[in-house]
Amino acid sequence: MNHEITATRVPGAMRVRARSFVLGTLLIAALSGCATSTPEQIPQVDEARTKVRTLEQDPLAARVATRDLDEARIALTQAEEAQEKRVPTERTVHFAYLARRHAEIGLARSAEARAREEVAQSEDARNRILLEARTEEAQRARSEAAQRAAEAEQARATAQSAVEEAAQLRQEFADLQTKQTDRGTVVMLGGDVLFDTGKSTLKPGATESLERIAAFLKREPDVRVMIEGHTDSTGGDELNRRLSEARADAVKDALADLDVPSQQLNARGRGSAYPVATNATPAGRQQNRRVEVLFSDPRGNFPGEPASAGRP
Amino acid sequence: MRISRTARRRAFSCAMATFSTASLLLAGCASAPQQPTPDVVRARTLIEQANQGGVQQHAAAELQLAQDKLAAAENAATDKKPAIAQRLAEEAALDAEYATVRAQQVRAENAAKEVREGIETLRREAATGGGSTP
Repeated sequence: MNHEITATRVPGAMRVRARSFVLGTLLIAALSGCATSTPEQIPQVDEARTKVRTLEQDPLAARVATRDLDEARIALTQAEEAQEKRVPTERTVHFAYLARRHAEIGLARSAEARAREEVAQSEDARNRILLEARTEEAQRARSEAAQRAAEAEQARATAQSAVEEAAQLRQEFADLQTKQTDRGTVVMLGGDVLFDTGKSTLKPGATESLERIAAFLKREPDVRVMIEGHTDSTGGDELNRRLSEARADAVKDALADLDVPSQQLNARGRGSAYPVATNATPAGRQQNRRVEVLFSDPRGNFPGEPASAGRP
Repeated sequence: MRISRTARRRAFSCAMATFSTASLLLAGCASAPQQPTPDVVRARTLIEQANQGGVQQHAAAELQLAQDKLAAAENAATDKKPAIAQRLAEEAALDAEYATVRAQQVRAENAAKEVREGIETLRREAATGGGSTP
């Protein structure tokens, strides 16, 4: 048998089949996307990347979460490589999960550090507020004490000036008879100087004293006077009351005639109830027959009496 | 009846074969507890530490996730799927770490909120000239 193997030409039908086969394979290959462009996008990798970027931008991360950030970046790189090499999806997703978790751990550490800082600063704020409150209290106490001291000083000054005013009045009316009473400075106008016995009309000699008083009152418009008439015990109470009242009014009218404003003048009768000497002797009775002019303080008040005592 | 030597020998081999097969089968089924992988050990340790550290109080859901994932890892190991088991164990360990840090975050933020509210109260009292300072 002759089994010569000669170089034979491929029969035509077989050549066509071979060509279709090659074309077919290429088509399938193309369709299956082996000649590929971009790696498939796995969403977990994008999510992981976003979380890692967030951690990178956290201001505290550099201080408290450097290890977490490093681990996250390593895992993210592994995920991206796996994605590019198109390894089985579950492995890529696994790396992406690790990356995301590392980033979340870093973010939690950052948030914790932030909260701790806030607590520390709040401690400072709390101490500041307490200090301010204590300082305010101390200042309030100091200013209250200062105010009390000022009031005490004022009271002392008032008392001092009262003494000085009394001295001034005494000096003013030095040649007239003045006395200090617990009601203040009183100028005594002896009855005989002013009135005839049993009468309530002023004698001409009374003028000088009254002019002095009038001049003073016109100079000190805030000072008021309480003019009180007194009698001796001669005669009845009712008579003496009316007589003493009339005498006080006479002095008041005389001062008004000397242009002293009426709001500065008060008058009343005291009858014989307040003798300054014995009524048994003529001399004593003479002393009891008098008009007393009580001066207010420069503010118009009579010490020991409510501010608007007496009738104007 | 006398049993021939060959028959005895054959019977013996048969018994041996049966015994060996049986023990092999038993060995295969009973599948002696597998040595846990390092990842599983690590995950277990972290979860136990988290439980003892009171993480459950502030991050219960996150800790539960770690525990569930560890259970899944152990199941996969039993099912002879070592690759899956290893991935799950690694993730479970990280989940446990996350739960721990998250609990610390929640605790710190709660403390900050309390202090903030305390300051507000203090400010209000100080403004109204409130009474004695503590």
